[in-house]
Amino acid sequence: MITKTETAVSLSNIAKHYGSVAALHDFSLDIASGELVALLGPSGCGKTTVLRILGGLDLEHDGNIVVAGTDITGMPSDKRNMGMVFQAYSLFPNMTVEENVEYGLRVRKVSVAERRKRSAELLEMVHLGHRGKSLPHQLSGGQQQRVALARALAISPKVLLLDEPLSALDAQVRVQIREEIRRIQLETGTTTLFVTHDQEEAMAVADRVGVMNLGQLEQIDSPATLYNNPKSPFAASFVGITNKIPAEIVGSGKVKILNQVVSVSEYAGKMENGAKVVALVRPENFEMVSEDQSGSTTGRVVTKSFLGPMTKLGVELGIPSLVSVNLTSSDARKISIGDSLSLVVSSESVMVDRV
Amino acid sequence: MTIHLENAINRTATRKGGSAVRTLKGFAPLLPFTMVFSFFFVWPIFQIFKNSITGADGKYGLGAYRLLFTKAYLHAFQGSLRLSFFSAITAGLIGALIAFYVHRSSSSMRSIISMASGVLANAGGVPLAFMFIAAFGAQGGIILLLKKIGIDLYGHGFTIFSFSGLVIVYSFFQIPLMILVFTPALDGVRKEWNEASESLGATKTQYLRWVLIPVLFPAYLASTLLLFSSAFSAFATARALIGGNVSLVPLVIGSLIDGNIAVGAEANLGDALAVGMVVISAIVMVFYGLSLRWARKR
Ligand SMILES: Nc1ncnc2c1ncn2[C@@H]1O[C@H](COP(=O)(O)OP(=O)(O)O)[C@@H](O)[C@H]1O
Ligand SMILES: [Mg+2]
Repeated sequence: MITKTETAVSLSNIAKHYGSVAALHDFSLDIASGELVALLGPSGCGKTTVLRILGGLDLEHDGNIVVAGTDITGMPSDKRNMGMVFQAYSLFPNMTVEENVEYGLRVRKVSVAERRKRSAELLEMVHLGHRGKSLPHQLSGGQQQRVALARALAISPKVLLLDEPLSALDAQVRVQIREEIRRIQLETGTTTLFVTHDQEEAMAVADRVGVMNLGQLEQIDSPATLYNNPKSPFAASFVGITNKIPAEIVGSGKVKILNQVVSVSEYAGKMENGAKVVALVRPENFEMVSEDQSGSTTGRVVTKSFLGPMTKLGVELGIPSLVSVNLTSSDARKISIGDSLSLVVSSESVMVDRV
Repeated sequence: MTIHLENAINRTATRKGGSAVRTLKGFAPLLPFTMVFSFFFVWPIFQIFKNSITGADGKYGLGAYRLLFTKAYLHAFQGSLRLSFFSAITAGLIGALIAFYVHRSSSSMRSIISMASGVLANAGGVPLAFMFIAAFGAQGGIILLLKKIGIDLYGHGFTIFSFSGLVIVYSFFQIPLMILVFTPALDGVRKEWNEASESLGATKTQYLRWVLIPVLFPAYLASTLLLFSSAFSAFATARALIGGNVSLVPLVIGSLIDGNIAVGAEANLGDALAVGMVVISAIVMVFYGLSLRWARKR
């Protein structure tokens, strides 16, 4: 296990404007040596902008970049020694797979023999040892991305930058390759910034996940902390809390959701008695109970989809939107669409947001 | 013709596809095209070929072809090939550079230039020749203007009624044609290549030498071959501009048709010359097809 103490990358107060549009605003981020940080956020929130600024492809910005103790602000991309992997189609189409991988070494005037040896090792690492002589168009999308990864790693980069490297692939390959990326990243100990809009992906690969919103970092924490303790409703909505249930503050630190009173874990507004709020409740934080249990709410099951160990139900609970409820498939087996179902919120506290 | 070939190059830019057309089912919609193609293209060529080997007496013979290999007519072929070669190289280079510039400019600029190219690429012929005479002739506006500021082109032996004059005139439809057919190939260039190259430490020159030029070369070659064949078959512009000053195959055929009464083998010499042109064009098209295939692999 690599100890992640030393700071490898430090972005301070980065700002970027396109005309009057602020793509990034006061963005600061430290990445420890050997760490993999994922930036997670909706399209247009500035993820790519951060990556390009760190990679030196965009030099017009405010703020400072320090890598391994050296201020590299303003240094052009070709001097930064950072490997980049793009969404798709970034391999040089006129070169074979091994020539692609060797590109950075050729630039560095490494001898042909040594280049071949290094590219063979790297291709072996991404399980493409036998495809060195192929042309990029002869490979599948997933294979192409693995070559792109090998090419970026060939220069032993100070930092590896990945911009949604899996978004052009189909679901199954996506999972497989993200695991490979993580394995190789740990093996090589490469400090990595991984950009994605896919929550599951970010959680699966990263040491820490940074949630971005409108050009700012909302929260950066380990996947577990982020999941269990999202600090803002926006972060919460990005880590799987989908139900927004109208609720009302009742006394300090308490909220009434449907027929039930629960503690409030997080609320940015004032705890005024009677204040109208929305409670954020995860689908898995409901429990099926008998109809006469106090605090329970009864509704009608409208949708049901089987997801293997879990079954997702859509329940009509007398509020405008359907409430999404996850039950274990064994519990859900006897429930059919049209049945009535009584539920309570099972978590001790919930996050609350202003309406 | 231009549009058809332009589409062919367009397909290379999309880099996939093409294989579907090869299936048998894909040919059914091509039936009307095949009929028109046969009627206006295959059949006339066949007729010309038949005439070229049919003497005035109705007997088959290769007399006309024997004439083809005499000095005067070889000279015409040489002139045509030379003119096509130089105008394709010149216009290809200039057109590619303009296309490159267009590719990087704003979208409104792009649509203006591609529209202008579309018009100019088809603006050959007599009007173009007269436009040129008005501008670049001995008494042409631009020539007189240059004279006023002390540059006397004609004094230095320049004339548009010459080989180099023709190269310049041809450029006027060849350059726009190049822009039209080469722009799609440029559009296929991904900015990720440049950025990946840069992040791997390469200079701009290394990127050009190792990536951009090799990637674009096949499409560039295909486009240039297209210019070659367009120049090779151009007739009206050359005819209006230089008449008989420069010996070119289409002009020779024209003068034969115009009715210098010919006898014996010369009666079907025009047909033989035309077959010669068809053969050369076919060879060029084979190379064109090969470079397109090469480009498609990019
Ligand atoms: N070249 C550009 N010109 C103008 N605006 C841009 C440009 N690139 C990005 N933007 C804007 O900056 C913001 C952030 O973009 P980006 O970093 O690409 O977002 P993400 O990668 O998170 O989807 C967006 O609002 C986008 O529209
Ligand atoms: Mg992006």
